Amino acid sequence: MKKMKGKKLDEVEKTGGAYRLKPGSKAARAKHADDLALLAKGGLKVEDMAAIVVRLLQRVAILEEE
Amino acid sequence: MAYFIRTASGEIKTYMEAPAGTVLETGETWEETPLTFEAFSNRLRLSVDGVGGELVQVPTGSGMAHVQVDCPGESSVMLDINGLVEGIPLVNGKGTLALSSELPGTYVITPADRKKFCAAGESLCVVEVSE
Repeated sequence: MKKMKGKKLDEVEKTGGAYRLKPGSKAARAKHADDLALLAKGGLKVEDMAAIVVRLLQRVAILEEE
Repeated sequence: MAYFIRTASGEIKTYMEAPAGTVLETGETWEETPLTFEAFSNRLRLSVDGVGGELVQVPTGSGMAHVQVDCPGESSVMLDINGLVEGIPLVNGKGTLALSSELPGTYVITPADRKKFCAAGESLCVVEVSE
């Protein structure tokens, strides 16, 4: 039987009483790529743009920590 | 009566109704409990919308996924959420924790005290936030 190594878990944090995946996780980086594609496309609603800015700021903060 | 295997480090590896056909690894020991298999399993149950013991998928941006924690007789239980260990307060053995679906990824929730609870069956909850 072949032993398998589990993949690394996404990092989580607790804010506002809920658990959230950290923006620096692998999945979040994929989301970042999607955000950039949407920004390049243009024509975003204000609330969508605001959500992207929040995620970008979170990503910047994590990159600064690294 | 149920039987379980304890590892060399003292953690419960798995449990079953009958100890037949299983070969122990180095340092492992058999233990038996007067609880039935079902009662042993039900000491800690995690579920989302009534679904436990299987992968739960929620779409990104669908709000909070609420994990129901059922741990009869306990006033709190320590859970491991992707490596973050948190004490969950319980009322009449029941509690809840909220998972954000804002970002895609996977939450894996297991009992933090593996010497008391086994991270298998309904004591293990996997919530995938899919894109």
